[in-house]
Order: sequence, then structure tokens, then C-alpha cells
Amino acid sequence: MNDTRLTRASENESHRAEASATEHFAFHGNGAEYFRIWIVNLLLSILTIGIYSAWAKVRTKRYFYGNTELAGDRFEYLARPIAILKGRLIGVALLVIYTVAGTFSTLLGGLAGGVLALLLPLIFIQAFRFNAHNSAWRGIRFGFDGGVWPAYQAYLLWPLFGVLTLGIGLPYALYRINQYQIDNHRFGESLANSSATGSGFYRIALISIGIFFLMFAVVVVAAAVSFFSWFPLEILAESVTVDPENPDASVAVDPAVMGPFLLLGLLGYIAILLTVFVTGFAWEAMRFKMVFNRVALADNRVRNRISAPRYFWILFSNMLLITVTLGLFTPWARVRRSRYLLPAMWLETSDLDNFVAAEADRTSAQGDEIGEAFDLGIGI
Amino acid sequence: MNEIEGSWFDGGRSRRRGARLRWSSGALALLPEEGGRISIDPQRLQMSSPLPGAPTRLSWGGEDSFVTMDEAGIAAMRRDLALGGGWLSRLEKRMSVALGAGILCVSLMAAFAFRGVPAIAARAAFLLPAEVSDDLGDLLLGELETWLPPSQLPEARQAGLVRYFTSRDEIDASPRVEFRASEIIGANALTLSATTVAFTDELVLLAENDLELLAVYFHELGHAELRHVEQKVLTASAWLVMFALLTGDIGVVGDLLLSSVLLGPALGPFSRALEREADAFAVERLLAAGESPGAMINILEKLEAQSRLVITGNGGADENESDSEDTAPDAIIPEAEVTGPEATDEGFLLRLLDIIASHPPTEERIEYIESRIAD
Repeated sequence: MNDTRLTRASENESHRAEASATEHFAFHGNGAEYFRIWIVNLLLSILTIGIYSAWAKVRTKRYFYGNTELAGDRFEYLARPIAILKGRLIGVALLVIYTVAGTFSTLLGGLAGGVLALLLPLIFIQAFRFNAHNSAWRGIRFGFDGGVWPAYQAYLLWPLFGVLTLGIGLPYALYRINQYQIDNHRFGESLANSSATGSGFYRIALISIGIFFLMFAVVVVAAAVSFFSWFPLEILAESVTVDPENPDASVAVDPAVMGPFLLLGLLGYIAILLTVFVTGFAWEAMRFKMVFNRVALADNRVRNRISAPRYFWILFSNMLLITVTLGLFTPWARVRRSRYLLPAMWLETSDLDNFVAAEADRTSAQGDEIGEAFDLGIGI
Repeated sequence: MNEIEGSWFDGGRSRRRGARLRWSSGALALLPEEGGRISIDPQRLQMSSPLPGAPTRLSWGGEDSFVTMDEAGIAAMRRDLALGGGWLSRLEKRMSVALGAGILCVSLMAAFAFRGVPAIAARAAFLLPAEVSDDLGDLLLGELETWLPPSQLPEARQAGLVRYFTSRDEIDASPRVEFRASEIIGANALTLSATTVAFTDELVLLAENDLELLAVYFHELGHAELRHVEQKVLTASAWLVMFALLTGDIGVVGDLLLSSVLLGPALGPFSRALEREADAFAVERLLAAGESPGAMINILEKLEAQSRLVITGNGGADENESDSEDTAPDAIIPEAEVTGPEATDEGFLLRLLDIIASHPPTEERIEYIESRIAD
């Protein structure tokens, strides 16, 4: 036992010594080019009542993969749209069953919802398998070999544990999900491996919660300041009349104060929304940076110098611009994200020429399986 | 030029080898840089469809693949070998197509949002069970509690009016009629759902006789029977779903928006068309009941005169009219008229809603009713 450990350690060291070269990722896409693809996709999807969306998805992924370069070669997305269409039809069917069951009786709806929840880990496995199998670089396909029981553990039991511990266990559950996803991926025969830690997830969870409360405090202070400095308090005081005979009755409020009052309410509402978004994006930025500094593929390590604040800003401003433009900014937002992330990532590698394709991937029948049932947005 | 530069992968190992693809009439061959020649059967050739900016991948049955960025070369090969295809990428390359597609997308979505959705909602509103309308009425009455405190009218008067209304409406399940005191809204009647109608005390006092109130009741009954509030709520929720789909996964925002956006439209004013439908319904009912629709004109004129008074009177009173919550649902008198042009800009969005959903002016409504009497 000790001996094997020693040999492993020495092996690792020798690999590290070899891993001298760094290969940067590059992204060549541009917003205007992708906008034209996106708008044609949108139009054809509308005209075909959504059927074209499977083809649209393939073209979108091909565009992003095809514009991502590593060591002089682009990534490839090889899925057949028909497989995605099949998956989507199954997804729609499941949702219809769930909705129809719900209209018959709450019990039936709950039952259908429960079944759907139990199916979810299987749907995830299928989506990962499909997506990985159809992603390739230099003619070698990726793969996903996650088991069914570990999937139920990762996607049902650990989140349940997180909820039962009133959220304290939630970062750990997210860590388990991350490990399940990454450790079961492979490139050809080379296994991926995540060295992320539970404490790492707790660290970013704590920072996120800190940001949330900080934002919340700012909102509360801003609300208080605006309330006392600008809100027509005198009018409010004069306008509220309580019937002395019947103090429980509704309080009559002078209409004149309702305008500012509603405006304040609206601003508060927006502020709370922004707080939720800021927290969510901050988490995502920190998570991405952490996770993709700790992924290895055999003895090749993925590293990045992503700035979490900068990535956060890109996510946040993208959201604002997409909302303001009613979705029209979406293509630029996606390109902008990739343009920032990919050049900030690289691979520490000794040899990129000798990844070997997995035997299972070479039998091409696998490509015909059913694609993602829902658009899970899974990607490498 | 019948040659393309690219990379050749054997599908077994991740090693790139430079190669050229050469074609002539009906024949295709791969020429690796390291020498040799692999001939390819054009029948077995599989090619990824051209996509601007992305490489093209060719395979020929085995595990080998050839990848190239040479778009022009691929286009020439497709032409020479009569492979066809590529029309999609030609569309995707043109800015004019993108602009046209953009305009078409926006118009299709707008047409669906402003024509399709209300048409579907108008039908779907009748599929909702009565319980939903009951709940909606309760919900809105609850929301409006501050603005609509309990009625000061004697119980007997309230019950008498309800008896009078239901004896004349010839409807199996008459809507629930609520009475509320309201200094803020003034004389008015509101439809809150297909099963809930509310009168303000001020309206009851303003009417010269109960027949005028019956005319108002029939107008509200029109809104109720035609499920106008339900239509507005369904339309608004469909718009919300469309917005969520358009802007992508906004997750939590959707949930939060849902609750607030649904209340607004339910409480907002009716469109001109719906108001006209309710007027027509009221006139029909009055005629069917053997009454003169003139009663409707009388009460409309009184309401109009009263709303003028509100504008020229207390300056503070009109300020509030532009705000959402006290925008009386289905005010029988249009909001836009009550709200003076000098209304505050706080309710900007709601002002905008008012403009979009402006009611027919009172004169127009009276003219319409008169024309119906003449018929």
C-alpha cells in the first residue's frame, strides 16, 4: 500500500516536471457574425413552431466550439439535430403529462412531479453523455461515464441533505455535484479529474452570502435615507386618519402620498432583484474560476487567470443589456462572455498529440442516441 | 483551384497532420503532407453544413476526418462536385438577411403578442372554472381594501339593490355585488372578475333612480359575462412568459415579476374595444328588459360632470389618479379623463398604459348608445 503511494507520488512528480508547455485557449467568434446566425435561427424556429430549434442549437454550438481553439485546432460539435429533436419531443411530452396530471388532481400532479424528479438524474446522465460524446477535438471525442446510483446521490440525496441541514450542507452538495460531473468526463481514454474541495465551495458560498447581506444593508440604508430625506412625511402624518371610534378599521390615507410611496416600493423591489442577481453572478464567477483551476485531464491541468470581479461584471452587464434590449443583445452577450473566458484559460501540458480515442466511442452507433431532453445548457 | 488545405485526423490519436484535399470531376483524394494518397469515395463523403466562422469537417465513412477553415475552397468543391447545400450559410452571411429576419421576427412576435395572445385569452377565459374568478375577485377586493373601505349604505338599501339587479338580469348565476365607500375613487363601479362586481356608495347616491344603477350594473355585467378581467390577466401572463423566453433564463425574476405583473393588468383599465363590448351588452340587456337605454346616458353624463369637478377642484386629488393601485378597475369613467394632463410623472408606466388602453370618450359612448336607441 505504502509502496504504491510512493510510486504514484513519484509518477506525479515526473509528470509535473514534463508539464512545461502551456497552451492557451483562444476564441475567434465575433458578435456581428454570431448575431446573423442567431437571428436566422430565431426566425426559422418561429416559422417552424420550434422544430428548427434543434438545428439552431447545433449551429449555435458548432459556432462556439468551432471558434474555440487550442494548440492550433478548433473544437468540434458533432451532434445530429434529429437526435436533439427527439430528446426535446420527449421533454415536451413529459411536461405535458405533468401539466395534464396536475389539472386532473393535485395528487396526480404531485405524483407526476415526483416521478419527474426521480427521472431527473437519469435525464442529466443522458444529457452529459450526449453532449460529451458529440464534443471532439482533433478527431477525438469526449465521453461521460457517470453511473446511475452516484447520479442519484449527487442530484437527489446530497441536495436533500443540504435542505435538511437548513442550507448548511448545501455548498457541500454543490461540491459533490461538481465532482460527479467532472470526474466522470473523459477525453478519449483520458479521465478528467477535479481537485476542487468542499472547503473551497464553502469559501465562495460565504463570500456570496457576505455580498448578499452587504447589498441588502446598502438597500436598507438607501431606503431609509430616501424615506426620511425625500419622502413627504409631513403629508403622510397629516393624511393618515384613524377612526377613533373604530381603530381596527382600515386606515384612510391621503392619495397625495401614494405616488411617492409606490415609487419607493418599486425602487425597493428593483433593488432586491438586483441583490439576488449580484449574489448569483458573484457565486457563478467565483465558482467558474475555482473549478477550472482544478480540473485535470490525465496529467494535463486546466488553469486560468480569470478575474472573478471582471467575469462578474460581464455576467451582470450582459443581463442588464439583454433585459433592456428585450433579448436582442443576447448574441453579443454570449460572444462577449466567451471572448473573456477562453483567452484567460490555458492547459499545462506535456503532450497533446497522444490522447487515444476510447474504443467505445469508435463504434459510431452511439451517435444516434436521444439527445438532451431539456435544454440543459451543458457544455465543456 | 481544386485543392483545399486543412488538417487530417485519424480518429485514433490526437495528432494533427497537414493534408490537402484534391478533387477533379467525380474523384476525391486526400494528400497527406507526409506523402501518400488516400482516395475518397464521393458517395460516402459526409460534410458538415457550412457555417460562417466555423471550420468544415469532412469524413468518409471511417474514423478519419479532414478539417478546414477554407470556406471559399469548400464552396468551390460543393459546386464542382454538385453537392448542393450551403444556402443557410449564405443567408447567415448577409447583413440584409439578418435585418430582414430581425424585422420579421419582431413583427411576428408583435403580431402574436398583440393579436394572437388576446384572441387566445378571449377563448381561454371561458375555460376557467368559476372558482378562479371567485378567487380573483377576493384577491382584488383585498388589494383594494385601503381604497375601498366598507360601505356606509344601510344594509337594507344594499340588499334591495342586489335583489333589484338580480331580478332583472335574467342570469342563472348573478355575480356577487359588493358595495364600498370610497372618497378616493368617487362615484364608480368596477368589475373585479367574472363573478365579482363592486359599486361605490357615491355612485349609488349620485344616481337619480335605480334604473340608472341597473344600467351601470348591466355594463359591469357585460365585463363580467364576457370575462374581460380574466382576459386581461391571461394576456398579461402570456406576455410575461414571452418576455422570459425572449430574454432567456431569468429564473428568479420570472417568479417575482409574475405576482406583480398579474395584479397590474387586473386592476388596469379596459381597452376601448372591451369597453365598447360592455356598452353594447348593457344596451341589449336594457332593451330586453323593456327599459330605455337613456338611463345609461343619464348616468354617464352625471359621472362626466362629476369628474370635471374633480379635476378643477382639489389639486391633490388628481395627483393620485395616475397611480396603479387606485386606478379603478374598469372605472366606468375613463381614467384618462379624470387624470389631468398635469398629473405627476411617478406613475409614468401607468400613464403609458392609460394611453395605450384609453377608453372611448364619454361623448363617443353616448353617441353610440343613442345610435343603438335609434335602431
